[in-house]
Amino acid sequence: MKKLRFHYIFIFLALILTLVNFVLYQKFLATEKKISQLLFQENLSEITHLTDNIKYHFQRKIAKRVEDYYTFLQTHPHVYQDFLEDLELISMRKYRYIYVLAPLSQRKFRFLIDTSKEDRAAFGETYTPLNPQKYFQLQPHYFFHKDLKNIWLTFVNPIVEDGKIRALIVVDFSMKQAHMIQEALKRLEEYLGYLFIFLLVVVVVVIIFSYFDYKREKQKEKAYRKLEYMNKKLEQMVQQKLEEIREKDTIILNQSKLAAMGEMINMIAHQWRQPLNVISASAINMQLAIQLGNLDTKELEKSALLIQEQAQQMSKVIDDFMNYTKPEKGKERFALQDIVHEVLKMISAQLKNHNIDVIIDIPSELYLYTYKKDLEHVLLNFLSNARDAIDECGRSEKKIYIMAFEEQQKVKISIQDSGCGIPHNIRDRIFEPYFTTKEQGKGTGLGLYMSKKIVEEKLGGTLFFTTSSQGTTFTIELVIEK
Amino acid sequence: MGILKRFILIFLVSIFVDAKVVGLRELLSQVLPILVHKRVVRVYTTPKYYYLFTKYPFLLVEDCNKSDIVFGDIACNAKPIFATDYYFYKNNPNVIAAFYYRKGRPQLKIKFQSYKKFFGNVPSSLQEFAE
Repeated sequence: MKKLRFHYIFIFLALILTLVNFVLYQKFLATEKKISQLLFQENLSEITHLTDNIKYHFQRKIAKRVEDYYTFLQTHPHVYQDFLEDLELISMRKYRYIYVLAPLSQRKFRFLIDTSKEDRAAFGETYTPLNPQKYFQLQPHYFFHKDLKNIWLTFVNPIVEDGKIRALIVVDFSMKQAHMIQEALKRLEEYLGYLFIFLLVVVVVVIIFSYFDYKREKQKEKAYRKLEYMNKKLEQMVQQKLEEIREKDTIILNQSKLAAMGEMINMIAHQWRQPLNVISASAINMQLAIQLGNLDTKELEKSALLIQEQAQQMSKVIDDFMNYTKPEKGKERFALQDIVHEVLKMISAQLKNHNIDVIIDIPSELYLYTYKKDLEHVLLNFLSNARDAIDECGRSEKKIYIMAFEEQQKVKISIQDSGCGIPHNIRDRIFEPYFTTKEQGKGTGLGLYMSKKIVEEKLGGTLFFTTSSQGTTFTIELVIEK
Repeated sequence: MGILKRFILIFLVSIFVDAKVVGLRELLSQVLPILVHKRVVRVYTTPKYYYLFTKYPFLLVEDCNKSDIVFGDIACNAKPIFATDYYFYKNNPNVIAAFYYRKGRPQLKIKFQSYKKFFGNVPSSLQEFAE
């Protein structure tokens, strides 16, 4: 918009300039005309004065009432000579020729006196000008005569007696100077004309450019509006997609929870199997003793105590799992070693069933300030995956290493299994939702996806893995918060 | 015919100012045949004026005795002369005509007496210029 305004100002200035130039041009034309006229009038006045003087002088020299000037001068050579000398004295360079003619006929004249330094006519020489009628006027007059090089003004001042032209005082007056001045003025006029045209062209060009610029600005504005509209639309679409993703995430989370619950039930079942077996065995023993009739109070008390112990252990398992499933309280400070042990409690029965040894290397002084339940969830998931990987690989050496250490204000927690590693072709996909290599009904494909989300989005850390045929290591990197 | 020729001659003289060379050649090609009463005019002149007589109706001759007219301000026995200077025209009795510029104006003159001596009366179409 500012640019457009600038253009308008520029066009306005250029127009003003052109207008001023046009006015100046017109003024100059008028001045030029005036100068030419004044110059010409001045010259004419001068020449009139000169020829009047010659006329007066001529009439004084020649006796009045002389019928024929030619014959008089022929018979009075001293008068002719005097007059010639007088005229020669007043001859100037700018007067090309000063001569006196006597009419001979309607077309011819005779030279009486000629002061010209060059091309001097003889006394009495006949003279036939191209336009003799121009000479025959009773009043002083002038006309232009052009030769090959210059424009001359021929001024004719007649000596009239009794209404008859007796002689003509003729001066060929050079218009060269006036012509030169006029030429110079003409050139100046031309320059002004060119300047005017140039300015006009500039104005036209500026207008054209401004028009195109204006058009471009409009297009730009239109494009900008379109872009703005598209941006809004895109924003809406992004918002919509985000909503969809959130919904999907919620679904995934729910599915993940269900999966975790299933896993937990599985774990509880494993944990409960042994106490249930003990309780069952005690019950069988007591029933057998009743049937045999040798049930004594002591033995009954012992069995009741055993059942009570086992029931308490089962209750403890439930407590542990209840503790795990309690809602998140927010960030809390805890020792990493403790949380690892708590998680192991839940899965230890299963690991024992699969003959998997767990080796823990975590410094007792390593404390974290973060979401405890989420970290438990992730660790449980990795341990569960490690169990499955080891089981699937079928190696005799079945070990899980849980290590943690502090490095540059960060805690690195690694869970390493002695499985066969992740196949090369699926490494890029393991964190995708619903991607699983486990047999149907065993895995949901949400474990790693959720773990990554929790670590990166909630715990503010990073999760990466290294894998080889000797096993896989998942590492959680968390920033230590005080 | 006479009036037309006269008109052409006056016209040619009048256009002299702007087209000196071409005009002079044209003028001479009109005037000289009439003056000497011949269709082809044998001209004797100085090299300075050769360029004027390279075409019909002129024939340049090297011997002035064989010419019909001498052109320029030179004399040759008793041959008629067409002068280019007033004073030569005025002072030489064999000059029958002249063409020169006076005050920037072309002047064509025929000397009546001299012409009569060579060719008789001045042709009617050139009477205007006779004196």
